Amino acid sequence: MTGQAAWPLVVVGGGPAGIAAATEAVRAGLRCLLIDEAPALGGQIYRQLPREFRVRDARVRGRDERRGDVLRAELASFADRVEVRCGTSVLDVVDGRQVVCSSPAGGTEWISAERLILATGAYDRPVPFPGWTLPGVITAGGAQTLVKTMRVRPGERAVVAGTGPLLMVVAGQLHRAGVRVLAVLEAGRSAFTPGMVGRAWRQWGLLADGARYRLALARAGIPVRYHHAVLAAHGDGAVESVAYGPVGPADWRPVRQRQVRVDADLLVVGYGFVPSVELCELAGCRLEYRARLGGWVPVRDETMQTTVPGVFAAGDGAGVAGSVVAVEEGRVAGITAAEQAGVIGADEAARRRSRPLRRLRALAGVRAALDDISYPRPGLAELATDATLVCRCEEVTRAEVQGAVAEGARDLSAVKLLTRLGMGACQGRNCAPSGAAILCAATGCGSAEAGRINPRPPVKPVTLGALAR
Amino acid sequence: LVVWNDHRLVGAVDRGWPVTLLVDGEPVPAFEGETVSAALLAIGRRGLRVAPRLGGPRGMYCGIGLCFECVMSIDGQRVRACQTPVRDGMLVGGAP
Repeated sequence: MTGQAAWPLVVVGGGPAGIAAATEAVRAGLRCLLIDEAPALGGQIYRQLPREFRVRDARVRGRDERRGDVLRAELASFADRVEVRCGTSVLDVVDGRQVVCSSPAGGTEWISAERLILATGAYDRPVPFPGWTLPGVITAGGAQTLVKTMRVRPGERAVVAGTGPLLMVVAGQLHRAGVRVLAVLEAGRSAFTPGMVGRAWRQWGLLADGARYRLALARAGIPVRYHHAVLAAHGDGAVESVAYGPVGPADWRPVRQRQVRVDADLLVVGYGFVPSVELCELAGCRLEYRARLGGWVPVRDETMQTTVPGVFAAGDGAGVAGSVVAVEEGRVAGITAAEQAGVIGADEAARRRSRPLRRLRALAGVRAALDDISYPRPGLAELATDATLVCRCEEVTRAEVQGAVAEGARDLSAVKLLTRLGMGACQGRNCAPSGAAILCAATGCGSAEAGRINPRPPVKPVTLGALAR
Repeated sequence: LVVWNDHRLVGAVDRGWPVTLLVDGEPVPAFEGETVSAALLAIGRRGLRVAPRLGGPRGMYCGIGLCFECVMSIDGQRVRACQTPVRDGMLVGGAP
């Protein structure tokens, strides 16, 4: 433990919410430390090209990169009051006030924080189906990182499957990168009705981008199949073909009799996102289950404060709603942290909060309409078969999960004890949502009763050497 | 060096300096700034390891450091290939 004075504010996560939170806090006069795991600020959506790459043609930089530049520039204008620590993972939050972090250069370090804003983001919802562990099956987020940041084509012939406007964006980016996109499979219905796009055009970056790419896909003759899902990936050593077919429009139950099979070496899967709430839970924040927000999320008041005073949560990590909402939530959290620290008064804080709160209320309608289309339906749990791995790390099949239920397991903790599901390196991030869905399908319980796999520090594996330092 | 199947997007962006990785003893070209998983996908290698219990092939899945599917033995450490930048002379191999 270091004897350093506590930071008035520590922000964990350098995506849209974290950057906006830090910006508002330092604008109000509060000193702040911003920590992120990646080599540079931006989070997944505003991820920057590697430092070693040089842009020769600025047109290659998309709208997301430019939106990220605006946000980063705003923070940079207060550079004297903010310290940014990139390449640093947060492993634990102790007593809601001690942040334990680790970096390759600095080893493990304890940082005291008087206030904490957790802006930890979200990750692609894992949905098991036969063959989903084959190399060549990658998440929508992973495909975007490869094309946008690494400038690498993940394959030659692709199927893109899942739900939500991000599918169109990823399919469009793959097409532009020269990948032959054979089909886009949306389990839900189209989000691109004229009314929806008209309402969202100015406010909702992702939906507008999705609509633009939807047009580009139509022009390129790439079929978009609504109420369709991927049923299996086949191949010896890696994906060689993909089977897909229709799903029920209401419950997304697969109709296996009407499947088609296409040769493909890349299958991109994106069924929306799950909030990363491990640090919230370790900080002692109360969580609740909200299916429309991606699953377990921290309980918050209107100022983004969790049930632990002085601990805030903002952005997709507190409930998936996309980068536009994340920025406004971050601003509200940053302003309130500054108010709590006493650097601005209550009236001034309320005045500064009014604009982002107004924007959040305006976005709520579009957000609810999108959630209606894309929240996961029970049929997704039926994409897996008995032999399908649910837990990738510990190689636990659906049959083993159902066996645990037959032996009396009624929540995820019990399934974990009986099967090792969730005991691997990913700490259950990749099996808890689908494990819960399979448990609920077998017992008829609600997702909230299935419970969670409790996170244990360190939330990211770290070598014993680094811990000892 | 033989590049038999290069999936890199060319033009618009210049990559970093060329480096060479030793992957299972074979030289593999890469460029500074790339991650190990991107450099391997760029030459068409999708399988990165074999799962220890059932022996199934695994490759990069989440690409953002959460799923640990792309864990490889890199310079003697079990680390995530999608989070590890390439370095000249790096020794890369499959890890259980």
